[in-house]
Amino acid sequence: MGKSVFFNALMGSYRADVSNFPGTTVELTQGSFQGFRIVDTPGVTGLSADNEEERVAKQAVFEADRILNVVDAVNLKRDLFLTLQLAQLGKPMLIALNLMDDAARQGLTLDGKALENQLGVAVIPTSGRRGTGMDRVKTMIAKDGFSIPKPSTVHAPSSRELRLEADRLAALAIKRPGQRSSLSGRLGRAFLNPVLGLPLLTLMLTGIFLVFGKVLAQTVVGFTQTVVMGTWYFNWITGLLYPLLDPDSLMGGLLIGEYGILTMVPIYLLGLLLPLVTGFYFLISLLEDSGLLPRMAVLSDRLFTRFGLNGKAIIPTLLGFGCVTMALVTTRILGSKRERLIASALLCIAIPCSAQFAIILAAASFLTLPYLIVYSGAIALIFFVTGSLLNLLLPGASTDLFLTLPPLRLPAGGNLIKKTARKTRQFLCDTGFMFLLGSLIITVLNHTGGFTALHRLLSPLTQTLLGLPRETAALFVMSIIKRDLGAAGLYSMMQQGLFTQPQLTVALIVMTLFVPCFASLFVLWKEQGPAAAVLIWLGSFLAAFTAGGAASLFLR
Amino acid sequence: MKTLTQVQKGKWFKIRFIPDERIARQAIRIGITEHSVLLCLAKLPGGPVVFQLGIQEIAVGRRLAARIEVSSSWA
Repeated sequence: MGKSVFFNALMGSYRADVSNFPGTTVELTQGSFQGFRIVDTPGVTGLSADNEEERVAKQAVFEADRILNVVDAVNLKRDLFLTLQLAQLGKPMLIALNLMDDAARQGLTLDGKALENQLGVAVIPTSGRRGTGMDRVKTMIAKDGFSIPKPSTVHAPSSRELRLEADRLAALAIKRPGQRSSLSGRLGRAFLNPVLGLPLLTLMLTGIFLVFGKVLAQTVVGFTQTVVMGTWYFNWITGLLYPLLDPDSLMGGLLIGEYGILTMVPIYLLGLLLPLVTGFYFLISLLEDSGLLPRMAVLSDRLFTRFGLNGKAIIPTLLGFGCVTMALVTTRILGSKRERLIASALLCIAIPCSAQFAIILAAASFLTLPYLIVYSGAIALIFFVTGSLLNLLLPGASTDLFLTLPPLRLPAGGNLIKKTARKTRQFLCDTGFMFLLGSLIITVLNHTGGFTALHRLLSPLTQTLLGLPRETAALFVMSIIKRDLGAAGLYSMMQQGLFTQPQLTVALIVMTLFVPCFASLFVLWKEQGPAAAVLIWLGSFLAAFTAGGAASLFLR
Repeated sequence: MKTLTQVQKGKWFKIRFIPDERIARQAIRIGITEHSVLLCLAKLPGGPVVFQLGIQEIAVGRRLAARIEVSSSWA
């Protein structure tokens, strides 16, 4: 935590994702500066290749010519251990004593010069967030102010001796120890209190649901989709092109038809998804930056151990609501291959991704309470069954929770906005292309009568098994291309009043559990291998139709 | 020998032995030695034990905590 902020401040642009918990950077981010190629590694506390992050960091450090060691001033004792390990490599080093603003706030006073004398390496106090000291870092890099650490500090061989040496250095450098602010400390502890923690969490999640369902979905989207895009924009674009195009021709269909590139794509993307996704990413960023995620990991540890995971798995799980594809990579923070596989399967099967989740929340807010309970019950059940089954069937044991909790803090507004904007832009780029492709495929299917055939072909599934209108077959095709596209289609069918309450419940269940998008499948294949990817893909098919069919029977 | 799960909330203690090698390695990195005096902050029912070292807060899963041997801080 803090290192990516530093990296961004150094490179002068927003490149790496930043959060208030370790594990945000799981891959290397690169940039160039004054002819140097600079590689941002995952933040680690040692070099012993205990997990994927450490392996990645270790490799990068071994390949590097020079090391810019970003030390967390607040956790000096901890980071001096890694510093001594790095010093043993005998490579030229420069130390940035980062988070000095946090240190000052806690009343922590540090003597950088003492460290400099002991280590024989320049130590520069910095704050990546405020930009203080960054000019000096840049000057030092430019004039190659890196130096090889003094040999006197690099003789210690065992980690015990390294620890004692790190403690000795810390004692020399810390002039006055700091204290965590009592408010942050007390609030942080309230979340860990068995009586207060869960209600606090429930309250928060309910708040999120209300903001989403009521304010964003019904008020904001009602305006952006129905009025701005659905009426003003639609009338303008069709008015412009109707004289030139026959809407019944293939070309007319492709451009301004029901699923057209100039009609459906911008209306769904900008009118419906943009406001929902922006709101959603803002919430996720808020959770990330406040330091609440690791506390949620502690609260949920007991639950996750039933699935052969530990509480840390809540981090990829929650990030999965943002984007399953990204979360599949984040599973690298988990301790074993077994845990990564279980978490990946849960992500692909039971976790809907951002736009889909936002739409589901919005749609669910139209459900009455009993149906809402059936819906959430079904999803929770599938999550539970999948996790427990995998834990039972997969050989081996999982690792235990051992987690350092960052302080709770009020997120910086600037970082929140930047992060939300970056994620939203990324979403529009990724999704935009798939939507264009989807629009193309669907229009051609529609024009050639393929859709009618498909509706008929899949009607045993849609009508008989699920009790849904046969047009929902189109949603499944859309979903395979891109889950959000299917979800947007579902939302618009719902707005047209094509679903009864039980039908909407069943449709939502099937869409939530339905197969991961192409991008996720690709990452899954890369990270877990073809066998696991295909099995998980088929598993989500099975889960979707079994749960949907059961719910449909139950509600009939 | 007492284990970490038996420490009461609000009590000070020292860690004597960590059976898991990987965890022992992580513990020593973040600054836990047999000399460190730790404070038990919270125990979730059936869940993790949270303790404090300096200004760091550390959570340990229940199963692991049951295998970590501790002693009173003055021992």
